[in-house]
Amino acid sequence: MSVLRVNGLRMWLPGTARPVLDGVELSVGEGETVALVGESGSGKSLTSRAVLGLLPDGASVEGGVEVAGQDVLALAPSRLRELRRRTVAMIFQDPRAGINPLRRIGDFLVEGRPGSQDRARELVAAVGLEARVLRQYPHQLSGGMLQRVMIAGALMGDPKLLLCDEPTTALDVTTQAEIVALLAEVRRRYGTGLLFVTHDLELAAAIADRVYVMYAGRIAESGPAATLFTRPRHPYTAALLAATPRVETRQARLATIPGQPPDLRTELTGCAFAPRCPRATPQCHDDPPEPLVYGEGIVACHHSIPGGERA
Amino acid sequence: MLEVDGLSKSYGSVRAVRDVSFTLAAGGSLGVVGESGSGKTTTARIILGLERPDAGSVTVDGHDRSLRLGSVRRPDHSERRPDRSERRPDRSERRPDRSVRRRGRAERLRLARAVQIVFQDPFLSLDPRLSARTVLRETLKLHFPDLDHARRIAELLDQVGLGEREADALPRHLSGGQRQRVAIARALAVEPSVLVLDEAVAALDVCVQAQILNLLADLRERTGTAFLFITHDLGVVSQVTDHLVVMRQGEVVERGTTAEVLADPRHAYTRLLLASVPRPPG
Amino acid sequence: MSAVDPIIHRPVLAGLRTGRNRLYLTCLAFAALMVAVALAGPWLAPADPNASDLGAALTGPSPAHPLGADAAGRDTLSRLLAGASASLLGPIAVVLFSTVAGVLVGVTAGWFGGWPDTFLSRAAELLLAFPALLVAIVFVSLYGTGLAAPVIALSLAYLPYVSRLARNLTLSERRLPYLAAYRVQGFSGLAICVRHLIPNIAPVVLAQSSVNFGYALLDLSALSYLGLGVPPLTPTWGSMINDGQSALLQGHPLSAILPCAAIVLTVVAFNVVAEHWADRVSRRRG
Repeated sequence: MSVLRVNGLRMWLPGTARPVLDGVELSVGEGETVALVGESGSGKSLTSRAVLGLLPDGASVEGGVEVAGQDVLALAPSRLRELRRRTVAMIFQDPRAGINPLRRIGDFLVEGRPGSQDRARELVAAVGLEARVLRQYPHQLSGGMLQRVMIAGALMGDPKLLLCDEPTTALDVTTQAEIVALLAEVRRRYGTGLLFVTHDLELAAAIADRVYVMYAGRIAESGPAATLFTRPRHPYTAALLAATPRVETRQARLATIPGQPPDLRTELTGCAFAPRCPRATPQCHDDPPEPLVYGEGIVACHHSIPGGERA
Repeated sequence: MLEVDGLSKSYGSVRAVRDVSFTLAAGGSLGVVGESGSGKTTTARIILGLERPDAGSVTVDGHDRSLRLGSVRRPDHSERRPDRSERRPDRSERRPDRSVRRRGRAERLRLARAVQIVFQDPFLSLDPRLSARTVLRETLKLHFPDLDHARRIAELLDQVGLGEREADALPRHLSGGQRQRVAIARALAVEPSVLVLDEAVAALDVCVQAQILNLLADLRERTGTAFLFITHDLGVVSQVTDHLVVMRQGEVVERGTTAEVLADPRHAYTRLLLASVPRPPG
Repeated sequence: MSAVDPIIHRPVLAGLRTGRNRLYLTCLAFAALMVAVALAGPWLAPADPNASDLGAALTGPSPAHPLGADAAGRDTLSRLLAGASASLLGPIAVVLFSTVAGVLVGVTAGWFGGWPDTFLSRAAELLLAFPALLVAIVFVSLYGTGLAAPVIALSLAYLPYVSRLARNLTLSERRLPYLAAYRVQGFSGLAICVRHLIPNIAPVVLAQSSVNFGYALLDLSALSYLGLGVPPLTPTWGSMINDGQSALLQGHPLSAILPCAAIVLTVVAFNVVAEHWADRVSRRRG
C-alpha cells in the first residue's frame, strides 16, 4: 500500500503556454524512500507542495494526489489541516526560516499538541540531540542541529509521509552526511515514507530506494536508485550524470548539455528534451514519448539508451 | 605569484584564521577546501584586501599587499596611545573596508590588477541597474582609459560566451549562469594575475555548473590567470584544481596536489570530508 | 528565482496593479496639476486675491465669485490659486533640502561607520528630539517672517528621518557582494557611493521624501495658520483657514473648507504617488 500516489498530475499557471506539471506519476510506499530529482524550474518543488495541498496562486490542477488514501486536492480545508497535522509533514532547505527565533525549541515542538512533552523528549533524543536543547533558543543551535530539530518537529504528529525539500542543500558536507543517515534511521525506526526532493542526482541515488528524474514538468525516467545511476536509460539522466564533477575521476572537460530548459511561454510539441538531446530524431520533436516500462524502471523516451550505458 | 604567509585573524575571541600559509604559482589552480567556519572565506577576503589580517602577509608578484595595508594605518598613532591599539581588532571588525578606502588611486588600481573575485550568489553580485556592457565599460574606463573599449568588450563577452542580447540585458533578465558569466567577464576585464572564485559555481544547476567549470578551464589556458577556488565541493576541486589546501577551524590541516590528497588523504578530517560525499550504491 | 516565480505571482500582482493604477494615475495627475497651479497660480487667478468686495462678503458661489468670498469679501478661488505657490513651493523646498542633506549624512554615516557614524547618528537623534514645529517657531521668531526661515527649520527637522533611512539602507546594501566587487575592482569609495549605492537606494529614499512632502505641507500650513512664516497679505491655504475660522462659526464654511480640502487632497495625492513608488521598488527586489 502506498502512502503517496500521484496520478497524472497536471498543473497550469496563468500566463504560461504549457502546463508546469504535465502528467506526473509518482508513488511512495510505506517506509520507502523516494527521491525526486530535477534542476530549478523542473517542477519538483511544485509537485512536493501539491502533496500538501499547497498550490501557487491562480493554479488549476487536474489529476489526483492521494495521501494515505485521501485525495488531497479534493479535501475540505479543515480535513486538509488535519492531514497536514497528522499524516504528512515537511522539512525545508533553510531550517532557520521555519522556526520562530523568539521561542524555545521545546515550545516549538509541543506547540498545538498539548501533553506531548514526553514525545518531544523522546524525539529529540531520537534525532541525536541532548535534552537540554528543549530549553534553548534557535540562535544557540547550528544549522545542522536546527535541521535535526525540524525533523523531530515533523515527526511529532507521527506522519506516514515526510516530504524533504532540499533538506541538506544549506548544510556542510559532513553535516549533510549526518542528516542523510538520520533520515534513513527515522525511516527504519518509524516506518515513515520519505519523498526527498533534490537537485543532486548523486545524493538522491545515495539515499533513495527509487529515483524519479523530472524535466520541464514531466517525469523523464524513474527506477531503482542503483540501476538508474549505473545504467541510465533516458538521455537526460545520462547527461546529468556526465555533467556532475566527480571526486574520483578527473575529466579533461565535463560533458555539458547544449541549450537551456524550455521556456514556460513556449508550447511543447514533442519530447521536452528533444532540442538538447543528442539522440533526437524528427519523431522526438513531434510526438511526446509515452512512458515505457523497462524492468523495474519507466522511461519516457523514443530512443532510450539500450542496456543503459552512460552517454 | 600569490604567496600567503602566516595569516591570522581574530574576531573578538574567535580565531577565524590561524597561521595560514600557501602559495599559488603563476597560471596555477589551487583549491581551498573547508566547511563553514573553516576560515576559507576570511582568508579570501584578506587576500582581496577586504579584511586586514592581524598577522602575516599576502604577496602577489612580489608586492606585499598586507604591508601596504599596514602602512596606511598611521603607525605612530598606536605608539602615542597604547591603550587604543588593544581595541584595534574590534574597530577593524566593524569597518572592514577601511583599509581599502585609505589607499590612493594608483595603489587601488595596482591591487585590483593583482587579484579579482567572482562571488557565489549570481543574484547579488551585479548592480541590478546595469547591463553587462555598461559594467564592463565602467571597469575598462577605470583601468584602461586609452583602450578601444567597444572592441575589448566584444572580446570579453565572446570569451565568456555571452551574446549581443545578453550584453544589453539587465541582470534580472539573465539566468544564474549568464549572470555568473558577466561577473567572470567583469573580473577578467581588469586582467588580474589571480582570480578568486568564492563558491562561484555552488548556486548553479548541474548542467550550468559544468558549463561554467569548462569555461573557467578554457580561460585559465587562454589568459594564464591563476585560479584560487574557495569551495566545499570536492567534486569541483578534483575537476579544476592542481593543488589543494584543506582548512578546518581556521587552520590548514592538509595540503598537496589534488590528485594525491583525494586519493590518499592523510588527515582524519580530509578522510571524513571524502567519506561524506554522497555515493550511490554499487 | 526560477523562471516560474514571476509567472506564479503575476495574476495577483496584475490585479493589484490595475486596481491601484487608476488611483495612482488620478493622484499623479492631481499632484502634477497642483505643481502647475503653484507655478502659474498668480496668473490664473481671475481676481486680485487681496481685493475686498465687501458686498459679496460671505456669499456662496456666484458668477462673480465662482467659489464664493470670505468675510472680507475676497474671492476664494483667486486666493486658492494665488496661495498655491506659497503653500506648495515651501514643502517642495523642504523635501529637496532635507533629502539631499539627509542622503549625504546617512550615506556618509553608513558607509564609513565608526566615529563618523556615531557622531552623525547622535546629532540626527538630537534633532529628532525637537518637535518640527517648535524648531520652526524658534527660527521664525529669530529670523523674522518670510518663507526662508520656516523652510530651513523644517528641512533641519526632517533631515533625521531621511538620514536614518539612508543610513540603514546603506548598511544593508553595503553587505551585498556587488559593492564588494566594485571595491575589489579598485573603484574609490566616493565613486561606488555616487554611481552604485545611491542610485540603488534612491527609490526608497524618494518614496520616504514624498511622504515627507505631505507632512511639510501640513506643518507649513499650521505655521501660516499661526500667522508665522509667510509675509502678511500673501494668501496661503493655512492663513485662509485661519481667516475663515470666524466665518465657519457664523455658518458660512466654504471659505475655510476649500483650503482644508486643497491641503488634504494634495497630501493624499502625494502620499499615494509615494507609496506607489515604494511598491515598485519592493517589486523590483522581488
